[in-house]
Amino acid sequence: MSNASPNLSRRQFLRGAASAGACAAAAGLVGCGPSGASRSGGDDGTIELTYWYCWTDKIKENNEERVKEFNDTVGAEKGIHVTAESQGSYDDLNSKLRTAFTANEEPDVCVMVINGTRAFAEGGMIQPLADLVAEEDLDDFWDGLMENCYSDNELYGVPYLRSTPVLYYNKTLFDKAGVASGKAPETWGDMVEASDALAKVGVGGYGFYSYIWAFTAFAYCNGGALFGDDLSAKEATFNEQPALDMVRWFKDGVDNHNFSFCAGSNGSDTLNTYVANQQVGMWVTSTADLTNHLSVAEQGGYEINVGFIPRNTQNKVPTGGCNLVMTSRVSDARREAAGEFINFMTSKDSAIKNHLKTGYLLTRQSAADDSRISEAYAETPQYQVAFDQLEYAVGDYMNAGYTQASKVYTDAIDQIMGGSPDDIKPRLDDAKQQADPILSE
Amino acid sequence: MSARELTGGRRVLGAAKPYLIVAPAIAILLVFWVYPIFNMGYLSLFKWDLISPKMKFVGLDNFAAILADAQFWQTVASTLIYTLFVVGFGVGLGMLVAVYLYERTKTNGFLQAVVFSPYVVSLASVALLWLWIMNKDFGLLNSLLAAVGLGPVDWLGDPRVALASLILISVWKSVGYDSLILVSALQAIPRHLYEAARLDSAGRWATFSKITFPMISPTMFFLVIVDVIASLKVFETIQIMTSGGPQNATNTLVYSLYEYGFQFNRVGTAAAIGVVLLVMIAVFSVAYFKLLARRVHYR
Repeated sequence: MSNASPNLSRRQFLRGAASAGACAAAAGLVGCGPSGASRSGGDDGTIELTYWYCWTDKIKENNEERVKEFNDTVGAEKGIHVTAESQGSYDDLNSKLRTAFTANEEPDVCVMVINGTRAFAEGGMIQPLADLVAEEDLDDFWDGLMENCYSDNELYGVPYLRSTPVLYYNKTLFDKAGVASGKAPETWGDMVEASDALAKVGVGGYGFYSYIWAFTAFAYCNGGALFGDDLSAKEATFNEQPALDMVRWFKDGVDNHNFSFCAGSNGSDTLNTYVANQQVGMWVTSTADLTNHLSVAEQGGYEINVGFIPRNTQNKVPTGGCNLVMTSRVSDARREAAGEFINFMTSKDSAIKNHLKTGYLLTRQSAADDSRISEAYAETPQYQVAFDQLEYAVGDYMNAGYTQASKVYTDAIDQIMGGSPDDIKPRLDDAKQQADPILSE
Repeated sequence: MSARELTGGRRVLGAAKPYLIVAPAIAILLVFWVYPIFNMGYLSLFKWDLISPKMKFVGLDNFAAILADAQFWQTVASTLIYTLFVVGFGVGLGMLVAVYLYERTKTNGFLQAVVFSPYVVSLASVALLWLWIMNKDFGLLNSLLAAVGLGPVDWLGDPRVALASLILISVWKSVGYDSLILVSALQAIPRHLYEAARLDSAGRWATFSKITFPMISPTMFFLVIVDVIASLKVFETIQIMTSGGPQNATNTLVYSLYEYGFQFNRVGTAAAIGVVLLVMIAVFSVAYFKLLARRVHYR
């Protein structure tokens, strides 16, 4: 009472302050509802949706154009407005999506690199869509594109901007070197022949770097696989016969047939400079790069053409690119609206526009008969090749550890191409030892 | 009665005042500095992919795994080599430049600005610029070497050269800053000390080791600390120029932390690497202060 010290002791004060703080914090928490669910939209009842996409240039333009079209047509009609936000690369988008999800700031719809679908589905960040997408639409997409849309037999993604690797070649250099005129090398033998011929005009034959997707394709074309035939990639098979022989063939190409290996992590940049400066005659990259490569070639005054990934025993290629997915907290009217948006973006009409604008695949079988497509193919036959190759396309590997395991492989390839042919098998065996525990987790 | 309440109120206010005043700073410190450190330690005990709702407790397994991983030790070695050379050459060359630019003349002022200029540019732009300069086939560096009949060197693609290339860039960038600081330290040394030394007919070396070096040692100490910490956490040049390659030759602790955390989705492993880095920086700082601070001459 009165004999209390004139000032509160430090301990007394801190105790009081702590309890006051705890009360304030508790009050604050009550105020924080799940904001994701409450973001219903504008004053006039319009449903506001956020959409995240990746990459720049033509791909960005394409996304912006499609979203604007949606907002002007279906959106305006049904009271839906979509805001598109660019998020950088697929990796960037994936990591932003995770953090945004934790903070209740995630978009309603986003693109998702096909390998990521399973992990995000299992983590509960994206939701099944089967009831929102019509059965005949699903049947219309090419089979090879659908494999990566499912996780645990549930539909989570709809094919959007999808790609396959294709062989590009510099037709001007081919003509100069007297390679069989105007035709892409169809087999590994053709490829070696063309590469040797290109040596005579003083340029590299086949230019490549340690690129997992291209090696996956070449392993398939030799009747093997890098991580097994099952897309869940439970173990490495890249040290087994067909895939091993594929690496031996590349090494022989580097040592004896004018293949040009671009070492290091920026090998892709090196290869691109070679291509732009007409230092290599052939290279493998995504169909999505077609528009870009065509314009670089036009500026450089040379001609490029496209062919299937050359086969040794068979034609078979992985697919890549992204699907559209919906995040898991979107529900009720917003969910319907997001479904409308996804259907619009992947419709037959959009599929044609997306394809012609960017060079990504024509995802729908029925669109092949469209007059816009036949006109475009007549004018730029290069687009047709990617389309024809779709017949041989399968999905890409989906395993949470795949990125890391594939880096183990590409590191090994980097080392093998600069080393001795005798080291190939031991180096790949060693890589398998490292990769398997990562894949089996 | 009311007077008594008032005193009571005043009493509380009086006691609370200092705490209230420091509260914002403490709160910010706790939220943005203290909490993340402990949270990192906490995360390092789990296996988690940033997506799953469940985090699996694995105890010290993440640490056991990285310590048993040859690649981890390679990143530790690369980080230490990088730090040693960047700090050694940065401060060493900075000292040479500083001695050269010691006199206050117009030319020296200009040269000082030139040497300092790389420091002003962000490391990301510097990295992009050097990416062109170091291009194996079309880069400036190799065309210069070719002019004198050397090369070509695959600056960033050859695992034996790549780390040295990154060291070169970092030294190029930091020499200007180091020399600027050292020049002002040199110029702050009172002239009469040198006059006295000359009267005692001290040699150049004796003058340097007995006067110049002790007088600038606090500055050197500061530079070494700052440069070591900056080097231990190098990231931009690696991310932009080599992605830790070729064959992990330029993978450092911070880059591998990023790789595990955001590319391989192994938050626990990334946090464990973070803890190791934290310990390294802490050990270094404490050792440095304890061992060397005693020798530093403070005025």
